[in-house]
Amino acid sequence: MDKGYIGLTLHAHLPFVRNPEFNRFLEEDWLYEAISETYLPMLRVFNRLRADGVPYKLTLSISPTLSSMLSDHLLQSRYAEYADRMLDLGQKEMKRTADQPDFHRLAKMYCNMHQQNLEDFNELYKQNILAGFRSLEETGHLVLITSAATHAFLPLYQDYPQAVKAQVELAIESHISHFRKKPKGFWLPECGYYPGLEKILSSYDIKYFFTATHALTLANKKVKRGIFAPVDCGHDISAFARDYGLSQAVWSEDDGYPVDRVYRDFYRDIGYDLDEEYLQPYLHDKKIRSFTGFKYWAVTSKSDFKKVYNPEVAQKRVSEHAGNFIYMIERKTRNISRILDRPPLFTLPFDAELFGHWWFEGVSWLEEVIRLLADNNHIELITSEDYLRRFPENQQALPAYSSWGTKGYSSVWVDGSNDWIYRHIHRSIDRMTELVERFPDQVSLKGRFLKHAAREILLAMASDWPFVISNGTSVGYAQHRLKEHIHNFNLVYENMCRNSVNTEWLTRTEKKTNLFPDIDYRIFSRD
Amino acid sequence: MAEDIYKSLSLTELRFLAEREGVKNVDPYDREELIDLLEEIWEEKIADRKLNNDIMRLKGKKYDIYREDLKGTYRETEYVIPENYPKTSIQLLLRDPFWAYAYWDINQFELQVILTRHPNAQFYLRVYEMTQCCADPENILGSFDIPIKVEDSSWYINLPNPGRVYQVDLISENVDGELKQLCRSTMLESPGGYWLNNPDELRHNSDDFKLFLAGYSNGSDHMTANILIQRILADLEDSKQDSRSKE
Repeated sequence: MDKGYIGLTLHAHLPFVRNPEFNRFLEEDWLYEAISETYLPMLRVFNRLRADGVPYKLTLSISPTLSSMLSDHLLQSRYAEYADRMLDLGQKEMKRTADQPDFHRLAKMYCNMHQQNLEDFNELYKQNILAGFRSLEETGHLVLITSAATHAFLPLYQDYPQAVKAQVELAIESHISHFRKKPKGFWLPECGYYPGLEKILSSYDIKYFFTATHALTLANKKVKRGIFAPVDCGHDISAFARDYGLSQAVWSEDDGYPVDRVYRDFYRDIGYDLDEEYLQPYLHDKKIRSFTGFKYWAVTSKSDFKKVYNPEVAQKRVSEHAGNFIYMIERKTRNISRILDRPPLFTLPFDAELFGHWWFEGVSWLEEVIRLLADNNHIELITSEDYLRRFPENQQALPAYSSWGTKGYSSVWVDGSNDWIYRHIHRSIDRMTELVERFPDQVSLKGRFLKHAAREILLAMASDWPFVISNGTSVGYAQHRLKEHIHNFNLVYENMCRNSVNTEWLTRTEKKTNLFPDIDYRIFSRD
Repeated sequence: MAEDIYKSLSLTELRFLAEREGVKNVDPYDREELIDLLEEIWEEKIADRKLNNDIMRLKGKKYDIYREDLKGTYRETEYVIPENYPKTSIQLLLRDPFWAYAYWDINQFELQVILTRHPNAQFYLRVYEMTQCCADPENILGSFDIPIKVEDSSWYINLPNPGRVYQVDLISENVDGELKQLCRSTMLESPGGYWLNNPDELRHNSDDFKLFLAGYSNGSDHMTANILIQRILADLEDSKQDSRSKE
């Protein structure tokens, strides 16, 4: 039988949200939910596989904003409080459902999960789960890579190379400070690539990055191995294009595995089903109902009719879906091998938060796939780094401008709802470059002021805000954040133009936005 | 479910939500009408989201912690940001191979000078189509004008051909037909690719064709919504039909 390779890459990212001025802050739940439902369960799976001696090696990209939040003491202690609250809710749910066995065992399942999360978080990782990922890298089970500093969608900044360089340079610095190692790979946010970006990445010694499928299908040359091998972009850097067809089995909301009728439904949550009074301690505001993660129903159908979730039935389906995934890869390997001069590589990148958070059973599916691959003689799990070591010679070609967003280009991040942001961000970048030229060697108070201005621009560049606005979720918050960063930057700019520093404001704002504490504001210089 | 939640809100809250959704003059609406209206707006939003591809739809769930339409007013300071910027400039951003977004600023003093001297001045975006990113006039294939109003500050520009380079000038014209270039954008290259220019190779080589589409296949079906790939496939289909009719 023909041989094939599969390169699984997970990208973990959340925007920087940290609000010490509030006791609790709704959007911080993005982080807490991801820790509870994705990162900790994923670490448990990776550790279990390692303990069982299952050979595996995956690539995991952790964005600098996420790393910063995961290592932030305030957010760590707030997560511990969140997990405590969820455990408390679980215990309350076990009492409430005592006479309903089907629901009671689910309440118990969630309760156990939160108990385990708390133990892992506090005892195993001493509240810093980055240590877990580091340990897996040290034993050769993960290859950790980075992504743009604040996850900017880089093609929309191609006329501002200083800003793109700032995103790359800071990302690498942040990665080194968290993982004590220089990353060789770079996750382009939203797989957003433009010709020329490879030169910037390569100038920072990055060896590979990932693109959308059509980046290679529509490359400047006829790519003789299609998307089944990387291309050499000509500056000692390679591009790996994702296999759209295969990844749809996981990504599709219409007919992918996650929407199987026996899997847990994402939307039906007690946060919307139970009395407000009962939920009060767990909600942020009595006016805002929100998800609690306690979800008792299976997908069942597209209608409102839902059956009670059955974890044993779902686990059985996980095994079937893992087997089906391997079968699809084997079938595709057979179909394509005849026209290739080497075994095909299937590059499959996914957002890490897809697993566990939305697709509750996704983490188990990942474990099953890895176990099946370990016993498979034909399909080998490989990382991009190992692939390049094994096949150092690849065809030279330049990928096409592309992203993995809707329609494959920039339309998600530039549409009628969010296009207004670029005028402000681009002008801010121009102004920051102007400040660097006017004040090239500031230290002390003015230096801090300028550092903070650089931070504000970077935060405004996050791809999350235009995405969230375009997608229609949390629009108010995204608009608020953008305006806050643009306003704060302009406040510094205007003060510096008057040769003054607003010390009180600076101290307060630095305390709130403590991202990239060692940033050099000259990163925005034109050179 | 949404209807039940809307029903639990006061008239003032419903009015606030409707205003936030851009409904002008909410006072004439009664409670029932506002509930219907808000439900309709929400359904439209859901329908819009469904137009996104799978990745974007699923990514959205990462940020789903509450129903946006039912969340109250934002609880912090409203930040003031500049309305415009003093430097006259124009920026072109690629949206997809056939559309670019242009935004511009005109220095207010410069604008006043133009309008004082020429109160009926007209403004245009002049879009140049070129073969490559080089300022050589020989590369210019043609240009077209888009009339704009003085109060406009952005525009979505249709790019006629993929694989070409575009540049835009912001121009004022006085009643005597005298043109003044206010600013020029950088050049922008619309994506094209090898196969767009060489579709015949795909038609004649089944292995190339197989490889071209294999990245979009799950082993049995092909699926791609990319506009350029669809265009290449449509061209191939056209040329196949042409050959058949000649036979």
